[in-house]
Amino acid sequence: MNRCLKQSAILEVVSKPRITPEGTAQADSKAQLPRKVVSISRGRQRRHRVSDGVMKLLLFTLVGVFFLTGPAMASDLYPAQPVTVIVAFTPGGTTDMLTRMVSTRLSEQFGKAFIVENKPGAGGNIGTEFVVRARPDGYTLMVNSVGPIAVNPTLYKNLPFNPITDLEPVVQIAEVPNVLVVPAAANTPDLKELIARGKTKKGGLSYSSTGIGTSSHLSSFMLAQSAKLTAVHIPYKGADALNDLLAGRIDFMFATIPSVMTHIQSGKLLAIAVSSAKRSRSLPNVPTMIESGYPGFEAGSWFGFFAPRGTPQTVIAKLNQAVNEIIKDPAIDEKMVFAGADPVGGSPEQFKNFISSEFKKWQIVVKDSGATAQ
Amino acid sequence: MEIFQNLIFGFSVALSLQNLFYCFLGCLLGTLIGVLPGIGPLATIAMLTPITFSISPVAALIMLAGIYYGAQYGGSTTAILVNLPGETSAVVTCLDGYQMARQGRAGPALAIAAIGSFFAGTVCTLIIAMFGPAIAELALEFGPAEYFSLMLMGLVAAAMLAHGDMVKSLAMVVMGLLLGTVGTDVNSGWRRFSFDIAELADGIGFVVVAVGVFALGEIVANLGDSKKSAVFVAKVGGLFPTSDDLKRSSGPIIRGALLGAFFGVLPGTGPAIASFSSYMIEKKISKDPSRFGHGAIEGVAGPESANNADAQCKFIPMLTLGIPASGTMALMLGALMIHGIAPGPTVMTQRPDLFWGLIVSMWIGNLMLLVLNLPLIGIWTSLLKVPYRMLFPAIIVFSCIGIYSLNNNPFELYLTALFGIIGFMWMKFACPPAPMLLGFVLGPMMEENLRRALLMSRGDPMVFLTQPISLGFVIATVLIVVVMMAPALRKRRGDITG
Amino acid sequence: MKLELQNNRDFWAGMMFLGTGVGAMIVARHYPFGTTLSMGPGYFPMVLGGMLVVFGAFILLRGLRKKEKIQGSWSLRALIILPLSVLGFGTLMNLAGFIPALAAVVVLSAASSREFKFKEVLLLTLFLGVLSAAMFIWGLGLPYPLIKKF
Repeated sequence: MNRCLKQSAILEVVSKPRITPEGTAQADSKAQLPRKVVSISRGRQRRHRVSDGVMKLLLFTLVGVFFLTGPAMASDLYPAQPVTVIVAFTPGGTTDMLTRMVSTRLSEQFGKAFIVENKPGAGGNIGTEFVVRARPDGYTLMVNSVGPIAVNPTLYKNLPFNPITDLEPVVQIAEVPNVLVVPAAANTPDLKELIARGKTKKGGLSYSSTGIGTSSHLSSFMLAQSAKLTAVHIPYKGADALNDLLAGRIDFMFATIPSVMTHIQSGKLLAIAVSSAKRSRSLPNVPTMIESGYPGFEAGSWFGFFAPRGTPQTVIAKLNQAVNEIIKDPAIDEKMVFAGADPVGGSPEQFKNFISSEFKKWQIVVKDSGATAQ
Repeated sequence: MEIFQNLIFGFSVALSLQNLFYCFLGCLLGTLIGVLPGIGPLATIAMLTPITFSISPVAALIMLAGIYYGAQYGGSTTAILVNLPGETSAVVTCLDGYQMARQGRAGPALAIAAIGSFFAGTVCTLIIAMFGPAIAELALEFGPAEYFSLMLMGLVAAAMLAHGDMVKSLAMVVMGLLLGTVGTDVNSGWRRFSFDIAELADGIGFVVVAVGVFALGEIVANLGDSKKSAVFVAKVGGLFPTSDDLKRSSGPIIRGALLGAFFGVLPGTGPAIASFSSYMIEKKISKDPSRFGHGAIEGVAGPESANNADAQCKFIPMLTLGIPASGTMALMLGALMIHGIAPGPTVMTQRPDLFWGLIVSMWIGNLMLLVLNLPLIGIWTSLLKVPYRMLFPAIIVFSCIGIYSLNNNPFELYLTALFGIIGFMWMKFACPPAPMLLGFVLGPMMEENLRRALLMSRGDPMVFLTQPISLGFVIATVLIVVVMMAPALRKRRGDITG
Repeated sequence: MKLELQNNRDFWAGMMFLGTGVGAMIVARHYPFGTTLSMGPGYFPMVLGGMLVVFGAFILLRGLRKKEKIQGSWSLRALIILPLSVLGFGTLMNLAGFIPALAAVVVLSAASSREFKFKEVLLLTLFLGVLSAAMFIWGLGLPYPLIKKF
């Protein structure tokens, strides 16, 4: 009964226009909604209109009762039962790895299991939507990354939810900068030479990425745009991108540090810049893009904990504190740095502000690049 | 002989009590998850990786590797017994293995699968030990143009999969290619045939199609057939292959092992391609191709050794170049990195214990799997004596759990049900599903690499002919077409003159 | 004649290919086609759809000429209930948890057979329930609750 009502509540939330901090942006993406989707949600509205009033009344009472009793009591004792941590990507990726690293410690600390569950698909949208629609009681959390939170709202034209307003940021775990790599045999040992070669090469340079709209693609696009280069984007599915780069068929790529670390060490790939504001602790000798003459060039991945909107603040505060302690632990810190991730931490508010600036930044880049997922 | 010294050193590492134990554990677990559809080595290794942080990296890798190739052994078991492909690569085994089981020859089929896999494992261990790094460098020569030409050759050869109706087989290949286009187009980001369903954005899973079409479709058909449903197999014959079986299988096993090794080294080819190729070749060179699809033991022996060889040789690019050739390999790479080891050209000199220990452990693991699997054959075949009305719900339960665990999403199950109905329909229309699956596997790779090659060459189609390896495949493709057309042409000429 | 068509194997096979091909082309006409040297996302689906139409038409016409029959008997009961049991498992996994989903799929799928025996199915459910919980939940550690709390 409860669940049934909750689901119709979701329909309501989805079909209602939303007020967001980024009011204009929201209006923009709304204008671009394909006609088909709009008509579907209109149909739904019409069907629900008759019982709207009654439903709403019932709903508010029920949700109210739920909030007053359930979570309020539970939050003092939180967690009283196992917690599910959703990862919107396949096992083995950076998100999954970081999540499992932190969740194991959370389980130890709270004495209740933090179970990691992968719900991959559609660029992380499936898992994200699942958590958006989960009960906001602190027993369904997620670790998410820059893609589904800050890029997909612009990249996907018809997302049925808004990750920025429908999720509560809990804490940022880490930052994973991208590193600009070139094949060692290509003779472009620094950024200047790479750009110079790009200006003379017939047909322009080719760059590979781990997919359209990924930070790997958009970073390269930003570079080509600010250096006024013609460069052809060759998209790949995930890690396959490395093969052609190593063989020299591709001229450059922005890759996550762990995926290319071994090749940098063996000398097959040269690291010529990192995309973070500060140098990465995993590659301290590699200059940042900003140092190399591209002010404001900051385009990395980041990862953090999120909870469904409406999760009690006490629960969020409790989790925030716990995760902050965990990532300060030298053993975890060492593992993260080795994997190319720089631990961050901080308050939920800091994370929230960071996300909102990230959203604005990627919105511009995605629109300029013309990338869409139709 | 440096190689023997290295191997002896490897034995000294792999035979330590701890490493032997983890090797056994990995193989056992691998067999188990291999038997279950859906639950593959990828998910299992992901779940176990954090646990391995506490043991030595050599033991960790030995165990994870054991899971990986152990799954290849297990995958064939359900394929043979009940037409349920436990792993992607076992789909081909369904074709003749299941028919053998229906004829009461499940025992020999299971035994030859294990023997073939063991032989392939041995060959691959030797190949990795002797030529590993050299082959890996060769794999880098394969760019998009080469991959496209290779896939094209595979697709043309698919016509050989056909038995009986050639036109329908070709139509089914195209059907598979079309199904393969569902989902996000890598080159443009367009979501094709996804109808605004988020779950379709990543395309349709291979296991979903395979389990739906093969396992579910078969059950629906069996339930409809009143004669078959009461007792599944009338009599279960001998458990072990006869000397005739062994004689027939020796060639396919050797060829399968070599083919598997070839595809294994190439990153970017999935596990089903090696077994499909082996099946097509065996059928082509067989004196009596009509036996294929009706319980030919060659159709089990070849593909089974090919898929095990493929699985093992996937370690070559990972260990020697640090290139993960598949998702599972990427996980192992990650596991090694967390242990502070960077795989790549230096690993052989910096961590010889890891490199040689792992290689030797793979051979030991294969031996364990053979010893583990042969006695199990008796138990497996006796399962077939369970009345069908109790056996098939069990098959469905395990399929369901496995498929749900793919993405923890019920949508995959809805699709499986749909493909069950479609598979049954295909069966009734006499449309063979195997060519469809081959098209489904090859299609996305072919399109991706074709368009990628043209992007890289800035729209110059000559790229397929100027690269020597690609040119070789194109020539081979033309030759295959000529060879295939020849008998038909000759027959027609005969008709005219006679 | 009408009855013959109903049972004509290749006629229906051809219709299926033809229908799939036409359907694919209708959906794919919205995707950018591109050119042969610079293909858009619509190129492959469109070409493949066209090929299916050709194959379908050929098989259909051949069916009209050869008149081969669909072989064997079949059970509508199995064809409907069996896929339903799989759907039920998926839905209940999310709503109610592992055990209810499992019970549903065992009972439903067993019911698709004409040899349904209630007691036997109950025992089978119990057996498979314990076995799969032991193997998957405790053994492999899959993260599914046995029964979901409401």
